[in-house]
Amino acid sequence: MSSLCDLSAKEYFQAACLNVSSTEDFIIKAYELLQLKPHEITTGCSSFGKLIKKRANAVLREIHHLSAYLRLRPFPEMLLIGKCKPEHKTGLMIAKSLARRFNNFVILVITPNDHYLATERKDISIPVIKESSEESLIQIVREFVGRIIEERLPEDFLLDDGDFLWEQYYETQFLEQRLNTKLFHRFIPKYVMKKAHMDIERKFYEQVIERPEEKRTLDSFFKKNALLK
Amino acid sequence: MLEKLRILGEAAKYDLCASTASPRAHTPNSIGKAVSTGVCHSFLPDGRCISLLKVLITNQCIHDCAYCVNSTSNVKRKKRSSTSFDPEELAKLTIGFYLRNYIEGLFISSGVGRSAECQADIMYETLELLRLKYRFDGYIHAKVLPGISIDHLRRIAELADRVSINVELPNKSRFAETCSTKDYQNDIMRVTKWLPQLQSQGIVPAGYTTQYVIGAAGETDKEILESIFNFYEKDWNFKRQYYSTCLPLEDKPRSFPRSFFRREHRLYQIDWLRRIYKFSAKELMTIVNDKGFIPLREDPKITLARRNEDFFPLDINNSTYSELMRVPGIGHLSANRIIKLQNQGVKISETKQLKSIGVVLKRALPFLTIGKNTQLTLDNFSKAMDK
Repeated sequence: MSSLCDLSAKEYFQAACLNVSSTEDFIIKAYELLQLKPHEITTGCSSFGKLIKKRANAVLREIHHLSAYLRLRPFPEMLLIGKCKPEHKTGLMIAKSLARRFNNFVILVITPNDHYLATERKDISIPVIKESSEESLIQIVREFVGRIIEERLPEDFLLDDGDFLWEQYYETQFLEQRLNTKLFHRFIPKYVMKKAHMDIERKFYEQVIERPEEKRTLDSFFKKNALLK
Repeated sequence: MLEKLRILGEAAKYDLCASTASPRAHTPNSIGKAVSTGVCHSFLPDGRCISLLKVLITNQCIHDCAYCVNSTSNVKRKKRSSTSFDPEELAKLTIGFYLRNYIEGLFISSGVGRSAECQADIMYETLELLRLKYRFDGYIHAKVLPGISIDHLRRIAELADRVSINVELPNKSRFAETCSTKDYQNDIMRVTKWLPQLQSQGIVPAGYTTQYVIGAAGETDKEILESIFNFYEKDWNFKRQYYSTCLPLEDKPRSFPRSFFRREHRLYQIDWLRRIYKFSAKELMTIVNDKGFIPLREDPKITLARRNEDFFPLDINNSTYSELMRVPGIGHLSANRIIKLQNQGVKISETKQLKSIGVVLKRALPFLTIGKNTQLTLDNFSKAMDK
């Protein structure tokens, strides 16, 4: 959560503007507060300052979560495509965040209402593409990127069965003795699973939860609390 | 590939690591970047993160460590099948997963197949493929094997961001209780001593770490803490240390007492108090009881705060960073924010401001003065009565 912390009042204001609930009136009022009493935003000590901070945190949290949890699909034309359902206007920020990591690639983030392209490559300028169908959008972007970038990603890295391999690997890492669903949901809240299409995690979580637990007896209770005594 | 991934992933799940931003210079036109994201890429229902692809090169091992799932005795008893990754396979798998945004990098470890040197060669070959042939620039953590030579260690450390070697147990006698085929001095400490030397030459950019297995022998917390504090001294300069409760290999998973993990949790808390909160080793050692164990019921920071009652309550608006860090419920981030507000001339006068800053009120309030008020507790009530 470190990226949520210690931001300046201006950064909180900018993030709050991307919140889906922020109206024009809200933005004007928030700008006034930023000019006159910026500390009210950073500390959240007034009710309006608190509201700005709350909205900004919701936006920052979404960018933070989705940049990590969004799964990408690689294409040979140095293109990585991911799909998500952000609640706020964060699609471009997520694409930019991923472009910083994959700085040699072009990133396409597709949301239900729009799509966002980002890259850190100097040899490509992002065009405006208006296309409603997902398939044809991907096709247009692939053709466009393929024309400009000569470099191709080796076939071996595309891992056709990558998602299946990951699913199998993911399950091997689980330690049943440490089962801690509360902690799991603190890191991946249920709404984030839906936003980022984390089907592998959701499926395995449900599978683990549905496993029958041992019968609770007095013996098992004392055994569980053995060390505390 | 699938079977290998299952077996070698399963065999590596007890190793601990965390990805971090590496100060290593970024190579232009490479795949990926070891930048900090601040959140791991996936989590398991046990609450542990998966930020790196954690696998062994092989699960064959010549050692007989009692706690290890890959040791000669456990493999025979459980009839586990042995397998190995080919460097090329592992390199492609890592990049494949990385591009799908499943991982931030690779954690590579290995059983000691024929010999430690031979395994180190294979590990180096894998890293060489990743870094030089495929220009992979993500994070790599290499777990080096006990008993390797300095040349092998250097070659691996030059390509990895972080290296680690498991000391497993706090001293020679405890180590001997769990393993008869490895020597604590020659195999572990000799290799460990080269790490500060390599770092001073600018190798191992993200530092080096180690791991303890808790409860594998009859070791006390006092013995572990002595070893931990020693490794954080300037001569060693370990970046961090990990603790892992020894899980019985035969036990039914869900019948394992959860309270056993509390010991591990308390060790982590004390580790943080030393490393981040800068409490002195001497002061932290006072927490250990006569039998050499950390009391499990109370948070160590609260124990220390209650023992130093003359130091508290602190005036929140006039305290320094190091003073604030001693208050239970105030961590590094909230202490920094309070100092930032002090510098801006903003006075904290209400508890709701503290809550907004991120302070855990129920822990912090008995030790703080806000305005002229301090929360009344049984402890400071009796103190006030005495006065």
